[in-house]
Amino acid sequence: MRAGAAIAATLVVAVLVIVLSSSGRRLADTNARVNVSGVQLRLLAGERRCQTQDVPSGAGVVRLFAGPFVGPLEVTIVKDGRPVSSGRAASASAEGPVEISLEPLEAEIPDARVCIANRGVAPIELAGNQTPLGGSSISPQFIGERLPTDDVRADFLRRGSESWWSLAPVVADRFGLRKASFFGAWTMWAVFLLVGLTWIAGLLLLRREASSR
Amino acid sequence: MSEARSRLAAVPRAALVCGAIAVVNGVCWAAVTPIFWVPDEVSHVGYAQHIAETGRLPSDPGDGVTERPGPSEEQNFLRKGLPFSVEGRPSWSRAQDKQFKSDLEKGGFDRSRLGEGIAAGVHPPLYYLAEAVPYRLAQERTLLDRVMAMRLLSTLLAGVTVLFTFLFLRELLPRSPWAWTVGGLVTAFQPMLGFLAGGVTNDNLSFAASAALFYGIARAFHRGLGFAEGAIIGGAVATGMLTKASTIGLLPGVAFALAALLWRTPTAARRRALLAAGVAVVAAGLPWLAWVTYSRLTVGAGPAPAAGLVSDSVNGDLGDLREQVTYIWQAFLPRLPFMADQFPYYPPWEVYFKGFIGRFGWFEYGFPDAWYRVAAAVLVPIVALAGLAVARARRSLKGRWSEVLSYALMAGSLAIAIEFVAYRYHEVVNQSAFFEQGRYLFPLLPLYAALVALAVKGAGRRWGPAVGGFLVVLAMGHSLFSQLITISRFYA
Repeated sequence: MRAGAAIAATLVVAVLVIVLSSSGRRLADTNARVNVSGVQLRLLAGERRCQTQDVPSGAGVVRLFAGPFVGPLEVTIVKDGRPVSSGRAASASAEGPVEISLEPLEAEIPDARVCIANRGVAPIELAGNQTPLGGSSISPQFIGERLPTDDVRADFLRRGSESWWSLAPVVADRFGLRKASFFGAWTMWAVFLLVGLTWIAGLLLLRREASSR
Repeated sequence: MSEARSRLAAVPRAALVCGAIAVVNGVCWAAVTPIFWVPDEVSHVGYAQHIAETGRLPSDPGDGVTERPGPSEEQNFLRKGLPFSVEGRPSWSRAQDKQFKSDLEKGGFDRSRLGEGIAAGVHPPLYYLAEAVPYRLAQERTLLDRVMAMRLLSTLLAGVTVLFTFLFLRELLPRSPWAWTVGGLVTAFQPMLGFLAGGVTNDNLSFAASAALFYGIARAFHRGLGFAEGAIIGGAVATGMLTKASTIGLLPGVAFALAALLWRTPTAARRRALLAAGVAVVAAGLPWLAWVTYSRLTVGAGPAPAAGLVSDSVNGDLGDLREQVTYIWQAFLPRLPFMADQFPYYPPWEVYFKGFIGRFGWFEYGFPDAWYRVAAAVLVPIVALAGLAVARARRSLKGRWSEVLSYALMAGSLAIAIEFVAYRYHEVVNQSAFFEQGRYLFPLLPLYAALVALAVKGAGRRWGPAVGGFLVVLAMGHSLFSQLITISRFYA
């Protein structure tokens, strides 16, 4: 029993360490409510479009999903009428995500105005944030309701590259939001503790049953 | 009372531990998964809320259920505040969270409207009546707290499912206690069971009822059909039928099992067995008949299709019989050359296998594709070892063919019943969508546990313990990675 359990445990722990140690750019927040948007929002040359969105603390990059364009495409974050951060992208040669570096934001800005301006000479197509590819009918959120208008999908990314280990406290903080009143950042750690206890209980039971065979 | 206590004491401690692990695992899932991101949880909560707030079933006259479906005021506030969408995630704004919870606490919302509960109105009421209890206990709290209380009841039902699964294995393989424990633990850590246990969905009671049913039938084959066995079988069928009408898919196997049990009972004991079978039929049929009668009487005041297998919207033109047969065939078996292609993918793999290994949320996210292939690679030796165990026991199996056939019939007829409904949904309701989900086959979880237990037996006395230890720890890892994927899906 021990040999089999040890082999499986080694495999599980090895994969766990590899996965959690992988580094990459992590999401700070997004207004996306779909995986892939079915709506293309057109921004004409010289046009500026603003939307209300929470801008998270620690955001260093904003990611938009656009068709090919010759920019520049400019993003400005405005709070109480004053710009607090901005960035611009020159062009994109293919459809896909466009990452625009922002001046660092230290604190969360709830209900900020995120303004996107096309400073180029041709229209730019941008992905929306809440209409799925298959249309509104696949989202029960909109059953019986008129489909709200999409905003431009804007993902805010954290600065630099991070492993899951280093992101864990941030994840724990998010874990406690929009949940039961007694939930908090501690809850995620409590869940891992409970998972550990179930493992211990399972292994002890296995050992007991194996020895009584 | 003392008899009940002594019966409880007769339950092996290992079974209780396996059940307790399933409960705790479900609690973890209840904490991990954001509210409403379990399939149809919005509707299931709406149904139970309506019962708890008004004391009436949705099919009662005067509820206005014929109105356009729309969220109740409280649900609407919650859904917009999360904000909920199938592919989205709850807001990560700490500042907004404070305001949101404060507004939710102020209350004053209308809670009585059925709202999204109408979508769950096709289901019989037993699960929702049970869920009304934790709801009422937390009635003064916010809806977030009330849903959490309701989720906790679901986790207890997962414990019951695993407990009965363990007991089923004990009857099925009476000389292999080690295999019971391995099968019980592997089931307790099954991530889709845990994920659903962490949500408000009638699947949870349906799984518990079917596990009890498998136990009752195995016990009757092992110990003979007595009153206790009849009561367990009948009670489990009644519970299942009053929870989810798809339970009907198990009934051909149950009917065959009862007939086979009577047939093999010695003449001297046949009268007692007949009475026991009568107990099973009455215990199963009376509550169901009462519900059907009640449901029929209330038709006219609003849609009350709960007595049916599917909602009225699915009852339409049955279409071409040949098409139906080829649809059901292709749901589980490779397409034959003369058949029209019914699916844009291969359902046994995309729906049932991936749905078993893990397709979470609204069947919307899961493991990277390579992980499913690894899971399939792990499954191959498990099936081979189980086959070896069956081959070794072929002599004793000759005397148990009717029992094996009963389980096969239960599995086969449930699968056909699901696809029967799925075909109608696809043809009549939405031709661009497919109804099938892996969880619909989860009433057959005891058979999965049996497969694992047989694999441990097949590995023999020397390797059995190592294989058991390997499979249990692998199941633990499978569960943990499923939770991590869910955490990364919603919070990272």
